[in-house]
Amino acid sequence: MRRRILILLNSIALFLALAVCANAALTRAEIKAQFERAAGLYDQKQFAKALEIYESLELAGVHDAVLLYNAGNACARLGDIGGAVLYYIRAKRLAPRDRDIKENLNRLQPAVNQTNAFFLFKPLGWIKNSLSLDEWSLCVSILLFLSCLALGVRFLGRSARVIGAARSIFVLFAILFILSGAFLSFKVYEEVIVKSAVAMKADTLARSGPGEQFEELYKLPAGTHVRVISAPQGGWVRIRLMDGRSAYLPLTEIRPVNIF
Amino acid sequence: MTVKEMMKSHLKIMALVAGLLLWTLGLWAQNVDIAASAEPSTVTPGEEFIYSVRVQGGISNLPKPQLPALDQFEILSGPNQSQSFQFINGRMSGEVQYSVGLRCMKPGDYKIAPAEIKVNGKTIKSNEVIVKVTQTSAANIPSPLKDEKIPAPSASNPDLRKQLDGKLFLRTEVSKANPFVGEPVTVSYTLYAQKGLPLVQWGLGEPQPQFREFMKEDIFQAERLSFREVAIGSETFQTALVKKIILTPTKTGKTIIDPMSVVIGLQTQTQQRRRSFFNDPFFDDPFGDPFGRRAEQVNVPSSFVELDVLPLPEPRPADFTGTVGDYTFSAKLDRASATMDDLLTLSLIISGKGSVESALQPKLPPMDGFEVYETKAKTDKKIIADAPSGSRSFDVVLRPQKSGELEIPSVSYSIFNPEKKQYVSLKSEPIKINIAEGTSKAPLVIAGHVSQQTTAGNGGAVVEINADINYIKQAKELRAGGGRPLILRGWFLLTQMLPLVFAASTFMFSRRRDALESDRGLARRLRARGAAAKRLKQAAAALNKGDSDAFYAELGFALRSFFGDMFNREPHGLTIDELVNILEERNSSQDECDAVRALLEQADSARYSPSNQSRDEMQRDYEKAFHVIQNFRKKT
Repeated sequence: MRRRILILLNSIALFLALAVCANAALTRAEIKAQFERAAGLYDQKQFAKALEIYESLELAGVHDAVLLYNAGNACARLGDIGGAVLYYIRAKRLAPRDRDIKENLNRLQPAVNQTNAFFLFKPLGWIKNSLSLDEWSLCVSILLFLSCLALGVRFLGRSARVIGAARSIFVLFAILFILSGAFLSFKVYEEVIVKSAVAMKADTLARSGPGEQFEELYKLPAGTHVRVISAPQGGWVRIRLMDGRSAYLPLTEIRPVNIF
Repeated sequence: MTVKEMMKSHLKIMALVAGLLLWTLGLWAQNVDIAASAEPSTVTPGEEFIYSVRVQGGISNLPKPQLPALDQFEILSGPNQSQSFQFINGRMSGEVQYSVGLRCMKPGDYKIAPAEIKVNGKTIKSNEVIVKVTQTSAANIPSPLKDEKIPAPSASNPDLRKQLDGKLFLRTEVSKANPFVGEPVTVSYTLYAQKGLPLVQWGLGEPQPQFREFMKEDIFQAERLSFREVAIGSETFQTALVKKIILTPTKTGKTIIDPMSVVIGLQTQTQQRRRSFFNDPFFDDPFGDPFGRRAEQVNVPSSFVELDVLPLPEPRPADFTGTVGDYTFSAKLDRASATMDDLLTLSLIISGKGSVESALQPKLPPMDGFEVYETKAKTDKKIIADAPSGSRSFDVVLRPQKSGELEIPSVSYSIFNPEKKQYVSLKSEPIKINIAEGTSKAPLVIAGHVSQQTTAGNGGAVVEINADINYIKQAKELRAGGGRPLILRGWFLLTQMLPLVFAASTFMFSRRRDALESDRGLARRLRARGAAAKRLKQAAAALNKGDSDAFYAELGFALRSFFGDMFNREPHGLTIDELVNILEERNSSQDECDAVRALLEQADSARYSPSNQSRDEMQRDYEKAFHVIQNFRKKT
């Protein structure tokens, strides 16, 4: 019986390893060649061609902060502020501590994207945004593992000293696990549950209802980051700006930030 | 009565009740009635009336009517729904009323098509409604203003209404009755009240006019009325300016200026009443005071004014973009010399009298030697002598494409001057500029973007980023994973179960360990089968060797130690009779007890009086012992 379980576990591990390696190994060389070609085109100021390659790589499943950052730069050079901001936001989600991404995004995004959070929430926001969604997921996973390990030692331990130490370590890791879990939940809400989009054109007209017949409320600059708060209806979607104002925008004027 | 008969009887009653219900519903459905009305049916332009559709019938869930098209009116409120139900003589009747607040600006007779409801597939229509919009003037308006269509004020007290006719009115005055389309008109609303009228309060009437056929700009809105005296004919009036706006017509033809209204509180004397604490007018009448005076509310609508908006004459100049006004036109560059790296701002400025914010961008001639970017417009509006004026600047960002002396050609801009009633062609002077060779890398130019980090010198239409964006990156390894975050991947979520499974396993293990350590009997019971299996294995080895003494010694010990472990007794002191007694107490069958007794007796006799048992007999005893242990373990 024990032998059967071991064989089964080994088979699962082998299958997972093969599945992960197959995806990366098949295309790695090709991806690198394409990426370098795009960088060469960018150097020669052929930004449109470079952008085309970056976008094709992204479509092929290469989801990398560097790729998205370079695509954002190509958009910026072409005068497409909406596209640049969109790519920088996507890149920042993957690499939140990258200085280049932050600086370029701050240069290009309109002031309306800035949020004025309550001062007590700012440190929490800073902690939340220090790690990417995947980093928070790994952090929570590791803390869960360590908590369970400490719990296991506490259960298996014979001496009072070992049990006491294991209990203290468990409490520490459990608290860290709960805190990280809270940050992960916020991150999941922000990046997975809430759908957001970027206005692609300059002076995108925001209206009070889903149609041309509704009142014009205000114009949004290209690169305005909005939250989508309703399902599309007749080619229009209800959005909320970072400052809390809501309006309707045509679907053709925005592109989604979330890609999953 | 059998159960079957009872069921049949119940089914019959239920069918009868259902039939009655359907029949009754059918009867009620036939009684549904629909009627439409307008209240009041005769109104002045801009006055609100309520169009109501009443559905009556004997059913609680009355169908919703399909209201007719009301495109000819402006909807001010609704549709609102109210309903009431009555139960008289065992019969239910209901009424649902749908009402819409409407108004119309143009005089005439308006027909409202019937509303419809559908009942049982049949369409029932209401009556048609006719609304008359008439322009009625107050009867006692002073003679110099007789030609103006000034309505009388409306009040709930008919006597007061009669008394105020010609003594209290709101006059609409326009600066021009027949403007050209795009030509601004100043509209003033002035309140006239005969001297001595005790006005105590005022406010703007609801709803406020929308001026949908004009571009509107407010230039004055009174916060408090400041009166001055004027003589009209033989009478003296107090007048106060209530509101002043500038309207720019956007379409040609007869266009009515939406009327507005003010609500005036007039102080009147009432008879003294006997007062108690509960009918104290201070509590029940916000306009009253303790001396028997109270304020009556009066609605004063403005006079009716129709503009005849003239179209612009044909033919129009080729470079005419629709700008109407009395303007001048000029062009200027933001610098006298530049390099090829610089961005220049060419300002095309239109200034003068008119709705300057509606001035459109001049058409640029071919700009040889320059690359043209997006244009940003700035407006500086002023109101001078109740008329709009100001300037509008179109800032065009240019980038020189070659060095040397370049010329920005003359830009022509045609406007329509309503005072002169003709088109005027304006031209800017050509501008010459020396362009030097560029020395540094060309700046990043991004159209239509404004940010805090950018230079705002060109008005933000096109910006040059002072600090260029950071350069692209080289990647060592690119992450190819489809972009799905870990938290959404099945394998990642599954692996999160492993630590939990580990923790649960250690918990169960520790519980079991503690239990075994605290209960020796349990520990022996749990290991009884394993220990017996080991001994049987040794017995089997002796069997294979043909050593009957050793075989029976192991077999006997296996059985005794198994039952000793199961009953927490020492195997060496356990006699056959004691063991069989215990088995009988534990409800073992007689066959099992006999088998155990026989096996142990055989083992003992083989030990104490050695005899050569055949291999087959030993094999049989081995199997018997094996089954005894297995069956007993299964049972427990």
